[in-house]
Amino acid sequence: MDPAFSWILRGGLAALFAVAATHKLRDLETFGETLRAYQILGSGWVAPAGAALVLAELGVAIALVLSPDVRMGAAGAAVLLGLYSFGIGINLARGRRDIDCGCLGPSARSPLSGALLVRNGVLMFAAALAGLPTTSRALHPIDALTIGGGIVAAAFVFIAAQQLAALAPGLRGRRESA
Amino acid sequence: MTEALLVSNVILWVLVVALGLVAVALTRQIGLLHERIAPVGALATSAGLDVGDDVPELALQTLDGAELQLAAQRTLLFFLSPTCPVCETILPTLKRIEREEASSLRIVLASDGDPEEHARFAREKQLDRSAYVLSQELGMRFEVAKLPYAVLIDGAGRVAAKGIVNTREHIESLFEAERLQVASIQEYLQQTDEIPMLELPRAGAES
Repeated sequence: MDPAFSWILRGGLAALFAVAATHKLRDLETFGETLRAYQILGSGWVAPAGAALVLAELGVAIALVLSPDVRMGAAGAAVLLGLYSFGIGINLARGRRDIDCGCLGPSARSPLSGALLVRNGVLMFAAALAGLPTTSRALHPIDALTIGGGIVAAAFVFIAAQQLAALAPGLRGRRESA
Repeated sequence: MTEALLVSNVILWVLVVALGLVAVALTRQIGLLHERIAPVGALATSAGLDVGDDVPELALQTLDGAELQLAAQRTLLFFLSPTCPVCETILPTLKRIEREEASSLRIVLASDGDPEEHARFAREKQLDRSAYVLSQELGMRFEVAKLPYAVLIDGAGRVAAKGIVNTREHIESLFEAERLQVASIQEYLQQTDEIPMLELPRAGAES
């Protein structure tokens, strides 16, 4: 794996988890409600689990960028994404699509959908790639552009895809009742 | 050569990032549009008969002296007054609905006051196709506080939808509410967060 590509993946995932953690930190109350709505944890466990998740997200973000062993951060990212997918999957199986997924930050509510599982699958794949050993090519200054541009472009594509997916339930409603 | 590739690479990255930004802006716009085209509903008031209640049997008489049974067939009951300008703006919509739905829907205009004045109003506005009743009791039973007010009565003589109607969209929302089996479009939107498909040209044609 070329180091520039690895850095794009690690930087992108780190940014994602850092943003996710700040969203949750800024509005811990809403995050607690979201977690409660998933109905997986007993009510006494919601607050400590929420704090643990936020800390884990921050830790993963830092490890992805700073840890000398790329596998640590990558594995942490994959585990967190797996946990979220597990929670979403269980509630989809229960037929509880209407709860807020808590994926878009506190300001935007968005129902659960299979698209979220696909999204997390793609992100877990990216995390797995980021955990692969890199070749020892010396980074050139132009790589800074590649990595920076890659992370920013990937972030935009991710946001755009996210917004489209959030629209999907409404659009489906239109087709079904037609 | 290397320099040319470098320049090309820089330009390409700038373009890729710019295009990504455009994609984000576009998807955001789609979201905003989506919210904006959500249907507006007639303002349903809690006063009066509830949706699903039987329409009261009243001895009603139209302006031309015919007997009128409210519950006899599917009816759009429209409360108006010759002195209410918003009511007049709704009249063309009512006429269109009456033309298109003649087989499945009857329109009854309701008001109270001086029969002479209403007869003149009906002539002026060419409302001769619709039944026109004057009854204070009717307005009181439906607790009509503001005009224009409309009540959609289904074929079984029950209230299917009701509300203050200020626009064509409000009238159509009554038919939508009946079709979706909800008391009002507002209730539907709250229930589902989904936007119902408005079937404007053939509103309520299924029944």
